[in-house]
Amino acid sequence: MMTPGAAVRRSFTGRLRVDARFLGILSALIVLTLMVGAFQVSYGDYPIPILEVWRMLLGLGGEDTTQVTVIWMFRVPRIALAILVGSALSVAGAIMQGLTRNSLAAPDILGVSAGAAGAVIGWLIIAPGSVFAFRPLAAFFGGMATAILIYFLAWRGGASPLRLILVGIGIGALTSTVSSLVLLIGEYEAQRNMMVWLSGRVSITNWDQIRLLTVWTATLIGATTLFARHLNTISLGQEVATGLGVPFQLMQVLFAAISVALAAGTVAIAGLIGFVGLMGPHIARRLVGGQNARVVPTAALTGGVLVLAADLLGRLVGGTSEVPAGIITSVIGAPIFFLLLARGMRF
Amino acid sequence: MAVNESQLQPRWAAGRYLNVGGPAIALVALAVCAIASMSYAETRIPFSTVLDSFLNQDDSFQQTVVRTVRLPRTLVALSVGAALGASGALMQGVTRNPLASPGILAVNAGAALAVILAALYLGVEGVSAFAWFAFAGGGTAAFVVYYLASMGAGGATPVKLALTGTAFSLFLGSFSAALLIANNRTLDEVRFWLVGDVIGRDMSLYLQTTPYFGAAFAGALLLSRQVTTLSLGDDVASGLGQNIRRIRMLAALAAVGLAGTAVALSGPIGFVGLVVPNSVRLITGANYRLVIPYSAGGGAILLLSADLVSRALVREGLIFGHVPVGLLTPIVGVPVFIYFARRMAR
Repeated sequence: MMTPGAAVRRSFTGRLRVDARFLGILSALIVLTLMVGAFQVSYGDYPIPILEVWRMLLGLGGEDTTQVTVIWMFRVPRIALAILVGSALSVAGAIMQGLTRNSLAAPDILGVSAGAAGAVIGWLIIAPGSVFAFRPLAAFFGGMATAILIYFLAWRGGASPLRLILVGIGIGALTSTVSSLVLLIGEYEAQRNMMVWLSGRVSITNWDQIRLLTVWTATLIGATTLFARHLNTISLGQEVATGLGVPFQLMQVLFAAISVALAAGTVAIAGLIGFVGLMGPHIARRLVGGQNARVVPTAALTGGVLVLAADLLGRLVGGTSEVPAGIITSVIGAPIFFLLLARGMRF
Repeated sequence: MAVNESQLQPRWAAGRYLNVGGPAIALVALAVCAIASMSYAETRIPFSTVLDSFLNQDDSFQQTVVRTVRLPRTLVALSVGAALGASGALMQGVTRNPLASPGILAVNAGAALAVILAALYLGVEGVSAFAWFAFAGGGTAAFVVYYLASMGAGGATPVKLALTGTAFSLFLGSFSAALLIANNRTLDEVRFWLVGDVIGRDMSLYLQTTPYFGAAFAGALLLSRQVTTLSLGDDVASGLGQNIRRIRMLAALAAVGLAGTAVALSGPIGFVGLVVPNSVRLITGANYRLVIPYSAGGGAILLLSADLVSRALVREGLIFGHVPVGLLTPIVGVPVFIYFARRMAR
């Protein structure tokens, strides 16, 4: 028989080991992000040696003004946007998967991203010259309206996870069609710009957008990490959550709003980047297990690396005309979606 | 599975009169839609002039427009709609799955990718040459989706089929998008085709596709009795002495032939094959000798009406330029899809 002391000691050492592993994984992901990012900064029509990149990022270089301009004006914003978008989508996916108890849930698969994009298109046509900061707000309201619509349409004495996904697919198809129709009303130039935006690029950006998205994303991911253990509780169902003293419905609404807001911010700036919200959390769970307090920060990092790597890959395979990151993530993500589907349905 | 008599009976009383009045009503509705679509276009041409262009031909400008521009557009909408409707009916009958339809089985996405690949790497040009590749690509995609969805327990249930088809469509679609963007200076012809529309197809192109439409539609009608039996379950069908495998193969061939020819001619147009047969079955019951022809008629009426709406939007100045019908069919189709999603998914 094990003495209580031994059990405590055992769980303590066990926990310590896992924590070291968790921190190790986080550090490894950060190093990976930095490495891919540095390569992305050095690669291009105007190649910059990778050592120079490091010196400059650390503030040690800077004699060559052309290099400084290229790096800070063009390449760093691009990788910053890739990382932000990836993190936001991945955390949004982690939340949605927890809320719906379905490993296939993600902002794009549930149709929330398409709804957000539709609202932005509508907004740009109603008020073409408005301040940029309104775009994420329009996206948020569009995404939220879509999420509520999907929830109600999937409700049949309870919102079953599978119904949510199917209804989401349908609503996603409808909103993208309506968006295309609305696009037809716009001027040709506006149409072209919106098509480029919708295809999911991280290449066109500036520091104002980055600052806006950083504040938006960092706040929301921070809040999610703080409340992540409640996400665990509510994914166990209403009775368990209420029994543990967690305000179930309030938390559900709060988490849903956070995930929609995260996805909406990325849609407003980078357009539709598919399957990151699906892949990011899955990779994270493979690495650190199912506890959301660990999944959320890990997913933020895996999502960032995914979009960063997809953007780099798009430049490498596309040659002169870059393939947008969103298309690369879809080519990789769609088969993974299918594999998860096959596993979930016990094919 | 026990045979339920009522499954073969029309659900509504109106169904009893289908043998007499039904075909007449359907044909009149079809004719009205067809003539209206030649009359109420971007500019009005009176009904009488439209009729005269066929009955009392002269060389006036309006009559020439009707014969050379409007007639092909109307015929394309009619044939594509009919083919998609009949194809969906066959697919649903054979698989006993109300969500089975060309769009959901990724026929559109497969056809699109095949055409893009052919144009890029084989140097294929012209919509008539696209037809074969669209057919091959669409057919392959449909078989792959159905095969993947039928793996494992329960076979190809509606929910599995919908999810598999969507995942596979997204997968093929992302490849297509990547190829189109990486080659953004070429492939204009493919882009034109990819929109999913009934305009800009001239008469000679249309006539090239008619033999395929005709053969596949004849096949569908010949198989309709066997499809009815098959739709009641494999046990019933084999109990009645049917060679299930052979009928299923032939019906699949006819269904893919119809959908493949349609997508080759018009580009991807979704949801017609989902909406029409399901609506038709509400009236006729599961008798595919009625479901298949009525679905063809209903599909034609739906696509002609969608094209009428598209023309009205332009005529009334709501949209500048042109609205492809492929953008209008999802507005009718998605609610039907969601209705079944709600019923099928537990």
